[in-house]
Amino acid sequence: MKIVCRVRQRQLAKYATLQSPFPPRLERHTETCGECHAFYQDIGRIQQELPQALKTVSPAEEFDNALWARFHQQPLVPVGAWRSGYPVYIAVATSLGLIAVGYHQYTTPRYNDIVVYPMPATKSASLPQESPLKPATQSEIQVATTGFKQRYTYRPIHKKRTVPKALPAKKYVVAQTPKPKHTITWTQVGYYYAAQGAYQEAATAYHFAYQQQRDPRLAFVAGQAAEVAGDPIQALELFTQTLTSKPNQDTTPKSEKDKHDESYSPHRSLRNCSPFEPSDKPSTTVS
Amino acid sequence: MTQEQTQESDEVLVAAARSGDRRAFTLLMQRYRPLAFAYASATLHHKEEAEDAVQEAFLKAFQALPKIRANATWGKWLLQILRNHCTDILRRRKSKPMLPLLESLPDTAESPEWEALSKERKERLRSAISGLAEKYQTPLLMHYASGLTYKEIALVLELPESTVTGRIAGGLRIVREKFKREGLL
Repeated sequence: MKIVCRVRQRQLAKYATLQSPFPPRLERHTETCGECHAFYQDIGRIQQELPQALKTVSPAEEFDNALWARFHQQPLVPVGAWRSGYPVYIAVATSLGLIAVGYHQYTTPRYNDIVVYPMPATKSASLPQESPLKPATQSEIQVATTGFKQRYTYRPIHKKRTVPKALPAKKYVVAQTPKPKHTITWTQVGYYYAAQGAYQEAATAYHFAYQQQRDPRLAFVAGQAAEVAGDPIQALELFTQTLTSKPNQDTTPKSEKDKHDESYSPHRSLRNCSPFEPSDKPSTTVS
Repeated sequence: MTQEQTQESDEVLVAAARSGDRRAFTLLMQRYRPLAFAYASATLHHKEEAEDAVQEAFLKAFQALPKIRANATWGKWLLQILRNHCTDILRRRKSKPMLPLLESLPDTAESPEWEALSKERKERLRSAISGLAEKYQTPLLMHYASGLTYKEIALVLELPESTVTGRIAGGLRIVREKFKREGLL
């Protein structure tokens, strides 16, 4: 089929449908082209046959009566009645949305509540063989939060998601034991002098220690040192203080310094290093 | 359409129907019933279902009379309700296929022309129309089965009149090609 004929047949179908007179050019083509002329005749024949083949479709005679019966049966609810319940739907949807947002906010830890895990203390610390990208497991988190015995731990990639709900959201601070203060006490001074053989100075130092701590044992040691040093008057005076003095009844808790001083007990130190042997029950006799 | 129906415009009739005039609504119903039924039957291919759909559309349109703002658009609104209702029926029907209208048409008194048309040719023509795409089939059925004009079809389908003409012409060309392949022309 020629392209011209294809175009003309489209026009012919439209004009046949409209049953209007053809334009001159289309009419001339239809007269000269046998194929288009046959097409026009075929279309006209189909148009004539179609109404008879399809018949006339019309509603039943009782259609109007049935329609009016339905009008009377059904309540006249306006079509827009659904709009009256529309705000209720909006309110319910908004409430559900707010509940969802609130639940999300409640389950997501805040930034300040995120547990900060310690990182390797030294660069030379060896990391485990597992991939560091692996999220922290429950046991690893427990290790990290109890004691800090390991020098390394995983840093959780998804902090907000991997922190379990059961864990208390609190910050962990490394508890450092205080370093001992290396201050020399009078007890140590006395021990030093006694070890050096300077018993007079040792007696004086122990006396100062006794004056600070009011411990009768220190007075007894000081008296012994004075006795060895050849000063019986001072020794007698110190032994007298041993018998008359009362131990310190201070109810205040002992400081770290006092505890440290107790570790340098003169009984123990003098028992090992001192030339004299202090007994548990100091003798009151002075030679 | 009768002369009585064409005298008053839709706007006047809708206004009268809103004030409770049953005669006005009856006139509106008579004016739009052929269009609505032609569309419903051409789309649903089932007479009883088409009647139900048209009744449902009229019922909704009647109930919506107090709510309508522009009286002149009531007809378009009614046809839109009908189109939506027919679409819903077709969607529900996917799992329950129905017989096509072309085979369930009620047999009326046959005319001499109908008798002249051979039985085989009649069946071929029906099958050719049934095989058309919906965009060709609906205007063809509305025009040749229900007798609607191109203007009325354009109103119902909400299409330009030229588009309706083109679709009917296209449907005829497809039917003619099929007939020619089968040697019926």
